[in-house]
Amino acid sequence: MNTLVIDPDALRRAQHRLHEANQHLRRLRATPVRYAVVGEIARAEGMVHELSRRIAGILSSPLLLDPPRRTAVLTSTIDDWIADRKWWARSTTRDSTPIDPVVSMMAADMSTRDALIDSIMADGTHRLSALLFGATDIAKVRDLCLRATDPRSVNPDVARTRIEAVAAAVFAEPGERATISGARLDVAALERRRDDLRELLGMMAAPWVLHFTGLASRWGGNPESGRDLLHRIADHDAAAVRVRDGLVPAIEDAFRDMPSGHDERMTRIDEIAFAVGASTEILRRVDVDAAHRAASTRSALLSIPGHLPLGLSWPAGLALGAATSVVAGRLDSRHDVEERSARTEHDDRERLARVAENSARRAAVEDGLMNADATHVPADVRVQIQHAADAVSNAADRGDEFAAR
Amino acid sequence: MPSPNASPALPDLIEARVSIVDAQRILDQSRCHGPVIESLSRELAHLAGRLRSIEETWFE
Repeated sequence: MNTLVIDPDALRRAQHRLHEANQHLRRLRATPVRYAVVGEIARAEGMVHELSRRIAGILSSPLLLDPPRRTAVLTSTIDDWIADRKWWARSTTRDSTPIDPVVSMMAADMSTRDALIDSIMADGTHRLSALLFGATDIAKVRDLCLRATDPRSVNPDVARTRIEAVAAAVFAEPGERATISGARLDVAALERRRDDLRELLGMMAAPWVLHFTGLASRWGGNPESGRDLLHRIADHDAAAVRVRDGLVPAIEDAFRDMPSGHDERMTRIDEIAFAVGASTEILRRVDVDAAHRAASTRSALLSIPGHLPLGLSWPAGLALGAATSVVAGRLDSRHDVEERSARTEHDDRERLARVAENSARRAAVEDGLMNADATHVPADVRVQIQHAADAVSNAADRGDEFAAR
Repeated sequence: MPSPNASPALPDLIEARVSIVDAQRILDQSRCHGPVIESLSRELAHLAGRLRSIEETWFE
């Protein structure tokens, strides 16, 4: 468990002992000692000083305040930082920002994290944007967000709310950011942060991928809005890879928590199959949509010469038009992408059908419905296992239609 | 003439190490808990080890 407990008295006593150690080391340096150890002693003195400074930092940290005051102090740190509209630009050029210690404190203590995240989310996207775009260390932001939505420790409803809030803040960024603030903006750093956050969204969504659609009721969500959000999250290459990688573990997890009755188990298998169908179709569609966008951008670029006053004769103008059409046609990969993504989807579903079949068998064993050595498999259990494979492989069509709406 | 290493300085070195070991013991035996505290404790142990190795080479 990621919790920080602090005993201020113990910290003060430890700090006092370090102070004494420092005095001894200082005296030691003032006496004639062998040249070889002078450097070692100076380094030790530096380390004592650094450790003492860190303990002083903990003793003056908001972590020592009671939870409501701690949340208020951290929130006001965020508010002070974003009060100046230059913060967006400054976050791209500075080595550290006041948001860094806030993220560190949230990472160090689960109760601080939960209290602050929930209070920030209740107040629109602005403060959350400050955490996501204002912290200089993306690894800490990633760790914080993944822990805050980890299926092993976070309630599904809470995870959904947090994923939706982070997605809203990431997608709102171009509109919320001041375009011209007067401070230097490192465009490359901002692009990197956008990419990192889009991939992070994919990582946060991956373990919950089936909950966006077929299992939406299990995290208090709506399948239609879940479908739209998953589509938006997956519409980024790195995020789509993360979401696709999440399918196998998500199916295995979904079968770990099956109801006891036969009819209920069959219904749950249908829900899982529906979710797999919708998710794989969404992944196919974002691939195809990206190819369409690229083709239309290319066509627009290639049409530019035709609009320029080049003073070409009518035949030369015709030739230029024909040439650009040929180039556009050669570069157009839409058909190839459609074929490739349809094949990938088919292969994915076959592979996932095997995963579902094995997971259904394992669930039956774990729930005591059959023996591990499969010497005796009751008829209804055999139906469930077969249905898991068939439903994911074939009945995913229902998910297709839903994803296409 | 006495060697610069056979010195009144050695007790200071030992005292410094004892203080650091004691600081680590105080943290380890307290209610303090969490990654930040664990990292402090580890670094104190490392520092005490370094001072111990200086002590061991003191008369070489």
